[in-house]
Amino acid sequence: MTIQNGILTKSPNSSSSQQRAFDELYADYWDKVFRLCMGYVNDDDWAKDIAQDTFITVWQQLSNFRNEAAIGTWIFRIACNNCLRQLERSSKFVRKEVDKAEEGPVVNEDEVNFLYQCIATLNETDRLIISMELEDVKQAEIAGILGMSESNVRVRIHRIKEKLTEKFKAYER
Amino acid sequence: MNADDKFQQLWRSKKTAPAPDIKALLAKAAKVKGAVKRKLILSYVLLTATIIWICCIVAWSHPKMITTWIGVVLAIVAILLYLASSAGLIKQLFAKGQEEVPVQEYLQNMLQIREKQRHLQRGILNAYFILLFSGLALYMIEYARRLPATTAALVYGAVTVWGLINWFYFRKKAIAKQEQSLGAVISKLEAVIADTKN
Repeated sequence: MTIQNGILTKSPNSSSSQQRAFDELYADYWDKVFRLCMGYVNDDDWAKDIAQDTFITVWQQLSNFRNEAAIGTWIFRIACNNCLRQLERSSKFVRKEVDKAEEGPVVNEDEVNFLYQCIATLNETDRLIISMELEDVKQAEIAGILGMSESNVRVRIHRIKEKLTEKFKAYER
Repeated sequence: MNADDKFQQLWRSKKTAPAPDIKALLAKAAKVKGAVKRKLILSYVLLTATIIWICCIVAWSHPKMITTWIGVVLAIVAILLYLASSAGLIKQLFAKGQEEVPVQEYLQNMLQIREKQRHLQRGILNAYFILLFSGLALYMIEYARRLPATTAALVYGAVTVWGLINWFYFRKKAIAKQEQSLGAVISKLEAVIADTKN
């Protein structure tokens, strides 16, 4: 197995080459997947857990992967599903601290954390859409991953960015 | 810098957690699999132990009436039903390869599993209580006949009261608890599915 331009090529010497392909994917995608999970849950430890689960699935399913989609799209799809699986953990809720922050001036919070907090206030689907958009995933791929139309994704991204811009304007004032 | 670039720059500036060592990651995969297996094995050990215990009681008391045997069978069926349904659900919840499907399909699958779980748990819970108490009532006939009428009536009265408490208190409480957690998950899933369709 080798990866070239996001395409996985299978070779007969599968066991060690699968390990090599996985090592490569793990190195390339860990940060991206972690950020996507952070965008969804806004909690470092929780995001790390979801990212780990995602790579466990990638490892388990890599030999069954068919190049119907780019490998990156496939990994993001698994990550999105793992994020949405958190809906079943009803005892744990996403940290939406920005609601508190809006009541008064934000202190000791840098802009990076503020962005992640703002994203945490969005609904589940919008959190995933904007996380993938900021991760430079093509809008057509986001639509494919979520099972939505491309025009819908485009409209939503526009609305989300408007909301974020407004929040940042208020934050900077 | 425009807002888009700024957001992207901020997004990428997030300090990510260091990627765990690959060996540790794969060890975690094996651990999860092992935990599920252990849970299933424990269920089956408990099931077998309970049935053996019931069989020992029957062997020791030498029942002569058919109602006693029917009672024992009903109780065993109730326990089997309860454990088989929970084992089946565990298997279903940890089914492999589901994470790869498109998100909408994944959500639909989760919803279906949860709705099935709600339906099954309620049905199984009702069947469990009915089978267990009718089993107990039938089992007791043979031994109650040997008692004076008043004592037998007292014993049956106590069992009936206990059955009613179970039916109207414990069963209701179990359903309410299940409804609280499962119902919330189902409504959340329905809301996200509706949102992706808009």
